[in-house]
Amino acid sequence: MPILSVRDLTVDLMTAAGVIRAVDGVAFDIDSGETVTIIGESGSGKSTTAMALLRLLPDDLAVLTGHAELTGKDVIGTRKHINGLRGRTVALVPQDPMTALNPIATVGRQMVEAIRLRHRCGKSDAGQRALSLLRQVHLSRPEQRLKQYPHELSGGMLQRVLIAMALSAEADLIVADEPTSALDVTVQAGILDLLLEIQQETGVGILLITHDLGVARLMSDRIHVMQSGRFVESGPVEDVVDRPQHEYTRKLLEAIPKLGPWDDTDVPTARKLELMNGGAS
Amino acid sequence: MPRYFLRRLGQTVLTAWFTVTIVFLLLRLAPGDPAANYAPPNPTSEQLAAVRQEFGLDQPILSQYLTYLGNLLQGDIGTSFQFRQPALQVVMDRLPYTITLAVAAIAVTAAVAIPLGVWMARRGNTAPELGANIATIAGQSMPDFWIGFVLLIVFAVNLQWLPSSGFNSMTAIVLPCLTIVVLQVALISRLVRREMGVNLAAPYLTIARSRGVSERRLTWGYAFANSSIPVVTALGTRFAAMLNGVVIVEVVFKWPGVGELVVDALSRRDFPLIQATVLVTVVLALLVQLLVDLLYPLIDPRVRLGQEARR
Repeated sequence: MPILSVRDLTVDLMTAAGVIRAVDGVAFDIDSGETVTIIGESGSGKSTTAMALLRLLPDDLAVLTGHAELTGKDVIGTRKHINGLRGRTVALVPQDPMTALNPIATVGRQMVEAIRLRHRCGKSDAGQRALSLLRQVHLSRPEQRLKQYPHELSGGMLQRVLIAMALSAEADLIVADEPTSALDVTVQAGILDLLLEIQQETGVGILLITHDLGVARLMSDRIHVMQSGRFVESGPVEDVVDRPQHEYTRKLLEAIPKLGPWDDTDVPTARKLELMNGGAS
Repeated sequence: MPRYFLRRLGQTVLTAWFTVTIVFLLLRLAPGDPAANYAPPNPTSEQLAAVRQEFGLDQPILSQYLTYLGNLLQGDIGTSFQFRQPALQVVMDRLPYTITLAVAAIAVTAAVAIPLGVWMARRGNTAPELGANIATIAGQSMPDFWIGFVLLIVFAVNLQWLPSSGFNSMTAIVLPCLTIVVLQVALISRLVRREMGVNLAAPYLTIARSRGVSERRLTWGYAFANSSIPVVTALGTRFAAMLNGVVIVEVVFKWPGVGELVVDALSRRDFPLIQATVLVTVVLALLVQLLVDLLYPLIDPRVRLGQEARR
């Protein structure tokens, strides 16, 4: 049985401009140890799909229809199950780590809270667990980090903290909503490697939401290409990337920037001189 | 940190000096002669001159002012014209009544306005919230003397549940306190609702919800904790203002506080008493403000005392 099974999921959003069908009848499954990616441009409905499955959309603004089961429990037809599943069966790694933690509580306090929501244990045990989780996500000086506040850490460090908190749930499924979009390019690869490492160690299933085909190719087993609320192309990662069938997928592939040769005539002379002088501003 | 306190102390002294100077000048530049209030009935000009001389009012204003400042520096705030005793003593006798009323009013305000504002923020765009919204707008719009009289007529005159004035029993505080609280609850609850609205929609709240944090904890431990700086500021400011004497309420209910005292002193042109009242309440208000500022870093670790000086 898959961890997550979604059938005919539809999300209607109530906006000032009227009702918008953000997600229009999507269906997919995720097995344990598997990474399934939904890729698409901004506004395609990929994040809305993820937020709908976690029931994080406000009831008065989003109407959900269809079926979705998380480890066999209905999460769309009723709100009854989701509270017991959050932080236990499913964990979220958010898009922007800089705004994802309570700004007025230390990292340690927030981790201890997350751990104690999952396990019945004392504060000092939870503190020890937090420390070992921060080591597991390769965060430098973990003892010090626990005492620090979110504004004292960089985006990459915060994302490691958030991944550690997701790990603390010992979840069957991690929903990673654009986990590297807000991070520096140099930090992105480290975070993606960490997610893969965790998946190898724990066998967790990952639902990855991204607009970056490079990220999708590195991480995914299967890819669903989303446009205007529908999956326009779905399949194993090699098929979708190497033999795209749909026009939109081809456009996404073409949109990946490539590094050209230095003497590329497209580069304006002034810029070339600047580069030769070492001023890579 | 010591530098921070020194700077704050300097600010306090400067503000207090500025305020007493303005009050000193305004009192003496305003038309009218205090001597007439303290001379025998139908006084002769000699009798008036004698009173003026006794109070030192025959001196030029500048010399009166320098004498006043000189005495102030030695801790002498002046002698009340009407009570013939140190003005500070008169103010201090009345201050406990005002402090009692202010503490009761701010405590009730906080206890009602905070849960009400949080409730309104969570029940946004529903019929009960609309009702509460209209009620708070009404509370903001009603003048306090009018609320005071309505409460007096209903509870003291018609129902006879509560005393109408004075301070004879503990129940006497109920009506004056209620009169103040109506406006303050309306103001503070709307502030709480606005701040909570922002923080309830913050990303960290949604992410915490995804970890299974309870709605109760999200509301109070996350959203309200993050809304509390403006709320504490507003409560502190309101409290400081109440310490200056809730003048109209004290007069309506004959509450023996500083507000009633200052109205009385003004009508009798008791200059030293007015000056003493202003000085005491200004210092108190500045102390409350300092206390509120000291709370900020405890609420929000991103706030550091004295940081604005380094920027």
